Amino acid sequence: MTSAPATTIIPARRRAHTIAALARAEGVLLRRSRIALLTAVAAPVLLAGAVKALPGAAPPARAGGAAPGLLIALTAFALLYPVYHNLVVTLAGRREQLVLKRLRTGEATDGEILAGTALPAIAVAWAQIAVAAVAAAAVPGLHPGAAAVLALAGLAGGTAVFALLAIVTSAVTRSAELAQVTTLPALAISLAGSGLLFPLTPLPDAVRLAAQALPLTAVTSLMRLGLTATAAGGQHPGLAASLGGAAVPVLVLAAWIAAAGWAARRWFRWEPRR
Amino acid sequence: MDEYTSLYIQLSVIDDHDWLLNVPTVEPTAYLYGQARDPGRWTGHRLSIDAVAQETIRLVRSRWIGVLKLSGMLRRDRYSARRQPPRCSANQAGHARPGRRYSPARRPDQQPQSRAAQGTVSRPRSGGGRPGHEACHGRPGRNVTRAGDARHRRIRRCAGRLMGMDDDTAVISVRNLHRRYGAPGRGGFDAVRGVTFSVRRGELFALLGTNGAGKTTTMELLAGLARAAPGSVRVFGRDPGRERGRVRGRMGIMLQEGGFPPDLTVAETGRMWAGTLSAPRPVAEALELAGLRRREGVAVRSLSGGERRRLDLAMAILGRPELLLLDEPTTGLDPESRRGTWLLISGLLAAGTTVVLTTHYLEEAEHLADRLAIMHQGRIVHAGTPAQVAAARPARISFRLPPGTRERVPEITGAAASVTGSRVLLETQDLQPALTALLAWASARNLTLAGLDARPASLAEAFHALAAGGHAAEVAA
Repeated sequence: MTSAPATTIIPARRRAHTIAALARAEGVLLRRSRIALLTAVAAPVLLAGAVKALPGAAPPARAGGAAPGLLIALTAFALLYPVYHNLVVTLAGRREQLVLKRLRTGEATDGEILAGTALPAIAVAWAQIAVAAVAAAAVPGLHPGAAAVLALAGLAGGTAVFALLAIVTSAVTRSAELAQVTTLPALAISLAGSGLLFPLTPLPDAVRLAAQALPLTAVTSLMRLGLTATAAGGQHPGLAASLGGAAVPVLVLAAWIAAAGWAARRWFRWEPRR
Repeated sequence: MDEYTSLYIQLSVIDDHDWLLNVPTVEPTAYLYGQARDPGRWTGHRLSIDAVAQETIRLVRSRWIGVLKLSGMLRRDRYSARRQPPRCSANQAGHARPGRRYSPARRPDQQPQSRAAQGTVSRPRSGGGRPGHEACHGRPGRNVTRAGDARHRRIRRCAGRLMGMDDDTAVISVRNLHRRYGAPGRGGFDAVRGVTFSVRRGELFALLGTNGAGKTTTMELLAGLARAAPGSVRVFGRDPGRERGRVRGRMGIMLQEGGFPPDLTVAETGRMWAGTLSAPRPVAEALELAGLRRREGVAVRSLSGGERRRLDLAMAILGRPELLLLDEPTTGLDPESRRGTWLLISGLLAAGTTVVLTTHYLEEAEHLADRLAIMHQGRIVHAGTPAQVAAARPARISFRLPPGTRERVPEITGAAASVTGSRVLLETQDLQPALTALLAWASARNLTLAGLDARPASLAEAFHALAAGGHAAEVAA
């Protein structure tokens, strides 16, 4: 995943044009692939609903009832399915079809190709989250206030991490079908550690610490801080305190972005093995 | 009876995009020489580029103006009514120098009066013959003789020089190229083992070889998709892998296998690809050139193999490349489409595009290539012009002596004879004297030579001999 050398200056407008052209094509492909579309659109909604309906699920945040919890769950599943899982499938598929190799014979840089490919999936995820956020805003009791920026930071960072992780995962995914298997570890570990399926508080300290180092946990922590000004423990810190509480998840996300970015550069393959 | 009339077309670059021949936009005008059944359509109008392009394509499709002709069509000088093979004299080249007759700075409306501008575009055919008709009309497969090829190349070079594009600078230079797949040691496979060649501006360089000879790997190295180790590749003086951003805008690449999403339609594929290019030609034009205009709404997965190849070619030329890398552009094409592709490539060459192509079809290389290299087991075993490569093999005369004859095989100077049963094979560098001597000998003895067959050295034979024999001597092109 070598990007164009720094000496080549590509005007931002041309870059955007290239990415838009690739994203448009990828969007058309997403629309035409039923399974991909179903995964992208239906999975987050259904799974978020199901998780919240589970007996013994994470207790709803006191203020605002179930709304913030649902929004957080939806965000988490949107990052896991449309962004992470779908992108692994897409990249593996495009590699198999030699599309990635063909694109590299053109003028688009590696970064533009990946961005264009990832954009539709990200757009679907964000659109869902936006709709859910608008709906949640109607519910009284949400007090995002100034801390809403934390939720947005969590979303942006989470998107970057899971898109990069998808690129890394696709490196070990030989075909689109195999993506069902190769994405499982990341999906399972992320979910288990996120506090969405079961609360983390009763767990031993070591496990809880490890869980907090997971990217999805960092995203949900930031969302929770941002939306309800309630840290994972349930106490009500002030804004300053919530910013302070955000330091750890922000650092965790930054570290994941750096690591996944490095791994993507190191291992991503543009052509099928032969 | 069809009336065929020669005509001149003044092609004014009104639009800022070029057409079939890639007329550089700095040139305000170029003349097209063509033949049409109904010249009325072409005359008396100032045609837009699109109209001329459409008409030319229609004409080319319907009538097969041969590959030879198309290259000769682009002329900045007035075309002689006596259709002699144009020569690239210094004089002619001088004419083309900017400022003498057709200054690039001059606008189309300031052009010196030309036949086309005066409306006397059509000219009656002279005498009983149809001027130039034999070269223009008919199926290109037939009229392409070796002499024709030479002329074709000369015309092309002429066009290139007239357009100021013919210089001998190497567009590609490749030195001691190696590429290994898999593990070091015994587990791996050396696909390319020390290949050296260069490709000059405006020429067509063909890579021939058996399957697994290393052609595709070489192409991928030229494209910068893989790194050579060791060895160096320079395209426009740069490393195509490391400095991809600097060379890609000038290159068009067609890989051996398509690589377009099967669920996109042809038009969507074109739009996507055009969106990634800095100066694309209109998508419809590229599709038209590749003969895919009618298939615009069809999904790539529903295209036939040949149509996919053509889509690939259309995308490769979409960015108006200076250098075109084509990996087996005509594999899987029906004969008609293959000729269409040749025509398209010839048109691009005439406009000064440099082309490197790999092919399994020897006639394709013989037909199009200025120079070629035959690869075998990762090495170039022979390189040169098609004629040079062919000449590496002797001409062959074979016949059977009548049964029961006591005559022995004649001694002919410069010919080596070998006998298998009653079959005699003479190999010689000079076919005509050897054949004359043989026939004189047979005639003097009143012998009938059954199955007499004399053939000059051909590229095909050279290819088979070199590939089979595996002359592994590395030759630098």
